[in-house]
Amino acid sequence: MGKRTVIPFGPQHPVLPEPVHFDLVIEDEKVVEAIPQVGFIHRGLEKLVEKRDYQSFVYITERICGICSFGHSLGYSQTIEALMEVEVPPRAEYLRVIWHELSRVHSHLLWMGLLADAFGFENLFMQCWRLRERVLDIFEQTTGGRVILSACNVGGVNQDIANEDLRGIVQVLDGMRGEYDQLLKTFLRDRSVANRLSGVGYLSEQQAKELCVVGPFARASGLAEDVRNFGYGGYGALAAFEPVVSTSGDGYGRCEVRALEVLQAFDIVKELVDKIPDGPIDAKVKGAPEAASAAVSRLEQPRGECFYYSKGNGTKFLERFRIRTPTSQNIAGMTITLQGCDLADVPLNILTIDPCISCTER
Amino acid sequence: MNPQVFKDIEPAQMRAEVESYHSRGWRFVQICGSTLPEGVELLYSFSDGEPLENLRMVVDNGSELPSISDLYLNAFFFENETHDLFGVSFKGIAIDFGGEFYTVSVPTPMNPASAQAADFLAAGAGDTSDVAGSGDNEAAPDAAGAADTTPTTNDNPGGEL
Amino acid sequence: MGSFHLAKMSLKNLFSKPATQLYPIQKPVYFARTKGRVVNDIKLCILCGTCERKCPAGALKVDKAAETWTINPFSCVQCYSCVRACPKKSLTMLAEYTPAATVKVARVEKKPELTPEERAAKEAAEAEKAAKVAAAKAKKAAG
Repeated sequence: MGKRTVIPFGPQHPVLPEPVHFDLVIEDEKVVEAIPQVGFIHRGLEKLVEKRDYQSFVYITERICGICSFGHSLGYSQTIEALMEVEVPPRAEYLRVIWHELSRVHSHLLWMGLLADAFGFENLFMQCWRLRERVLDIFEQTTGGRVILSACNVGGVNQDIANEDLRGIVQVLDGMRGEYDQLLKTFLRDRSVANRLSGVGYLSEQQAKELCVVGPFARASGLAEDVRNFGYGGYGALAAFEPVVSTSGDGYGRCEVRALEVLQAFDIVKELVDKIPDGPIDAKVKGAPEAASAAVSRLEQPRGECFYYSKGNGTKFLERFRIRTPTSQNIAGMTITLQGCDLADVPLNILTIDPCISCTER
Repeated sequence: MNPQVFKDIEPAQMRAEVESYHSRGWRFVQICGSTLPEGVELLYSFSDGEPLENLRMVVDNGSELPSISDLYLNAFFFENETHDLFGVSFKGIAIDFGGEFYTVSVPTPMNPASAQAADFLAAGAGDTSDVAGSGDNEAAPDAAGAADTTPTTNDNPGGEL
Repeated sequence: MGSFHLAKMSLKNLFSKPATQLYPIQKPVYFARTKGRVVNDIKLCILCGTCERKCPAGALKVDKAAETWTINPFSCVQCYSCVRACPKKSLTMLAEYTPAATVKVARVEKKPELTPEERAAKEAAEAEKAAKVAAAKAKKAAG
C-alpha cells in the first residue's frame, strides 16, 4: 500500500492540443481516482443565437469545432427544420449524408494518426494523415473549403455536386481502399500496436450502459448505440445499416470500431452515389420559428451521438439553442476507465476516447 | 425525423420521474437550461434507442434541486454547467465543483436575473476592472494538489460500479 | 498477429515523390470552387446592399451616397453567401487567398466616374423612367 499522491494532468498535456485537466490520485504508479475538469475555454457560443438570425447562425455552428464542422451545421439545420417543419429535398439529404460520412472518414483518420503518434509509431501517423489529405481535397473540390465547408444551410445544401463528380469521389475512395487496407492491417494485426492497445482503458458493457457513453466508445464495449441506425435523413435510403460493434471494451476495440467505420463510410458514400435522385437541393425557408415552439434532434457524429435542442420565440432570432456534444457525455466514462490504469497509459487512455474539447466548450 | 416528446412536470416530481427512467434502463441524454422571465426552464432528456423523451419543468431563480448524478454519473457535467451558467443549485452532485466548473467573467452569464448575478452587481463589481479581478480569482484555485481546493467527490462514484 | 505490415508502404515511399509541396516556391493548385477571397466587379454593382445584409460576419459595407463598396478581407469568413445572393453577379470568389498583411486594411471599391456618353445615357434612362412614372400617375389619377 503506497502513499497517495495527486498529480495534475493538463490543461497543457501530451495527448491533444486541447485543454482538459485531470487530478490523478496515484498510488504506486496506478491511478486510483481521476477528477476531470474542463471549462478553460468556454466560449458561450450558445448565447450567440441572440445576436445572429437563424439563417446566419449555421456559420457559427460550423465554427464550434474544426473536425466536427460539417456535423454541427447539419445537426443545427436538422433541428431548425424540425422546428419550422421544413421538408428537405431528397437530393439535399443524400448530399448531406455524403459530406457527413466523408467527415467521418477524415475525423477517424485524424484520430488514428494521433493514436499512432501517441504510442510512438511516427510512420503510421504520417501515412494516416497523408491519406486524410485526399478527403480534404474532395471537400475543397466540392465545397471550396477544406475544413469549414459552409455547405449546409437550413432547408438544404448550398452547393450541388454534379453526378460525374460524385462518381469521381467514389473513384477517389476506391483508390484509397488499397492503401487504407495496409493501414488497417497495421492497426489491427500488427503485434506492436496490439500490445500497446490491448487492455488499455477497459470499460465493460454494463459500465458503458450505466455511464451512458456514446459513439465508438460505447460500441467498442458492445453497445450497439448508433443514431444512423434509426434512418433519419438520408440514412433512411440505405438498404441496410449495421453499427460496427466490438466486444473487447479496451483501446484496441475502440481502434477497431473506428477503423472499420471508415470502410463502412466508404460503402455508404458508394451506395448513396448510386441511388442519388436528381432534383432541387434547397427548400425555400421563409418566416420565423413560432413562439414557444421547441424541437430536438440527434445526429451521429464521428465521436458519437450529438443532441440539439432549439426553442423559437416568434422572431428570426432563436430563444435558445443547445448542443450536447458526445464528449460531454463521455467524460464520466473517461474518468472511470482511468481508474486502475498505469500512469504511463493515461495519455493513451484519454486519447482512445477521442475527446473533442472544442465541441464540449461550445 | 426525431420523436418530439415533451412532458411538462413540476420540479418536485423530477426526481421520481428520473428514477422511473433509470429503473426502466433508459439512457440519460442531457440537461439543458434556458432563461425565462419567471425563472429557468430545465429540460431533462432520456433515450432508449430510438425513443427520446424530454421532461420540461420551470424552476424559480435561486431554487435548489436534488442531483441525479448518483443515478447517472455523467449528469455531474450538466448539473455543474447549469449551476454556473443559470444559477440553479443541485444538492449532492457526485463531483461538485462549487461554481468553479466554467471560468466566467460574470456569474451566471446565461441568466442575468439569477441571485448570484444580483449579488455580484450589488457588490459593485459591475465595472470592468473588478470583472478582470474576479476572473483571476476564479482561475487560481483550480491548481490541483491542495486538498481543500480540488473538487470534492461525494462517496467515490466509481467505487459503486 | 504479425509484424511489419507497414513495410511495403514504407519501402514504396522511399522511391516515390514526396506527398508535400515546397509551398512558396511551388504554387498550389486550386480547385475551381476553392474559396479564397471575394472581389467585386464594381461596374456591374448596383450598390443594392443585399451582400451587406447577407454577410454573417459583418465584413461588407455598402454606401449608396458615396457609391462605395467596402470589404474587410480579414473579417470575411469565405462563406459564399454574398456571392450567392448577388442579383447582378458582380461578386465573384477568387481561388487565391487574401495576401498576408501587417495591418487589417479594408478594401474600398468606388464606382468609377462616368464618361460624358455614359452620363448622357444614364440621364436619358432616368428621364424616361420619370416620364413613365408620371404617365402612370396621370393615368391612375384619371382612372
